Amino acid sequence: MTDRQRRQPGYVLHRRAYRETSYLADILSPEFGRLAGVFRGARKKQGGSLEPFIRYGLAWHGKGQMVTVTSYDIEIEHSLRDRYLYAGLYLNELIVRALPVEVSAPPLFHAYDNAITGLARRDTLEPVLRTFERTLLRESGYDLLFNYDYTTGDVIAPDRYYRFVPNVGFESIQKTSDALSGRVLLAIADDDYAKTETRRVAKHVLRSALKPLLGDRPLASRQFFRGSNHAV
Amino acid sequence: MSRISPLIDRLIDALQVLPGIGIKSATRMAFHLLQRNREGAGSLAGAIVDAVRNVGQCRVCRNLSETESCSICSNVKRDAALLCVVESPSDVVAIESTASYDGKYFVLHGRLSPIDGVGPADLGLDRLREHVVQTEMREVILATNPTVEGEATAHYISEALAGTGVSVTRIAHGVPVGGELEYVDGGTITHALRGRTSID
Ligand SMILES: [Zn+2]
Repeated sequence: MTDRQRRQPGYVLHRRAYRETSYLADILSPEFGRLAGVFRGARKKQGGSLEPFIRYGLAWHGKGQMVTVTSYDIEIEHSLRDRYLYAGLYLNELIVRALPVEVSAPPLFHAYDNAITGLARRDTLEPVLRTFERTLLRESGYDLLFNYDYTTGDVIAPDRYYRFVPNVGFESIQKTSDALSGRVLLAIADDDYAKTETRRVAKHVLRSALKPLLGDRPLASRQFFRGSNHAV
Repeated sequence: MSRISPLIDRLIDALQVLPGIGIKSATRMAFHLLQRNREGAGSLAGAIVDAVRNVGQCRVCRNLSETESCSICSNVKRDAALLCVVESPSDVVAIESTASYDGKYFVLHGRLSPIDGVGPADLGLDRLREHVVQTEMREVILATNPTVEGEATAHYISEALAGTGVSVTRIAHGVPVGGELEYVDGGTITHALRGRTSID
């Protein structure tokens, strides 16, 4: 077992007090995905606060379940406020619940970096969240294709209607009141959430697509949005 | 599996409930109590039993208290229309030690933290709103820690109090980001309280 030092950018998704002066943190990195890192002495270090939504340049020793972080330098500090802060906490909860540990995920890290940047910039909330959720699904091993009919393999037709079958995909059906329009599905496939209808369908479909990854327990961060008219 | 003797092992295991105390420190403590300070050990045991049996939460502010209403809530000299919301009882101690605040408190016993499964109901926020409305509070100061979770909690409370007519303020950022009130010096806390700003 090698014990050489590794260097990666990383975000802290969650941290808790560990022993007298340390933190144990859930980290997201590009090459090593999610991992648990011990930050020794970090709690008593002046100005050495360890917070989510800061991209750190991390160095650590060890491999496997728990690594020892030897340095963490701030690369970018994103400032998330009000409902954008809730949204950031929602993304962190999603990752911790849905992404298995130690799965290398450079595209997910990239998507997270983009999403947090968008939240700090106060971009329109839903496109940021939906784009990220789609990447998370893909990187968790469940690639939901919004542009193919899974029964035939045909490309989705803008003028036809479909229904979502959990864990599988979309299949063509006759037009009904709750049928999904092909045009809307193709927009989601392009991450084009300009239309209200696209945002509504994307939220609904992605929520049920994520469900098998999240288990029965509801996401605690969704409660934050209840009073604020900006449900995610 | 016996290490030393059943009773001593039990004491060593019990001491490890203390934060930062592992088996080595616990063993040292156990021997100290048994060899050098049996009287102190007896009084420690008694104090723990009494405190655990009699200390609960204040009915009004949720601070630790052995009376139904704590000494701060029962003190008529304090400003009952001013409320400071903090994460923990140790924050109350930190603010009280500055002697620069004469209002009342509300203790959350935590902060919103989705990954830990802590939501609004766990922090008594329904009760906070009710309390603010019933007592015709003039100002609520949000003194949760300047961490990501502390900020989310402050924002959630300010939304929850919207429409009650109370003025909601946030302590100033003299407290370093990620810092916790209980580790900050008194001067900084006084400054943070004085420099509080309104949340809209
Ligand atoms: Zn009280």
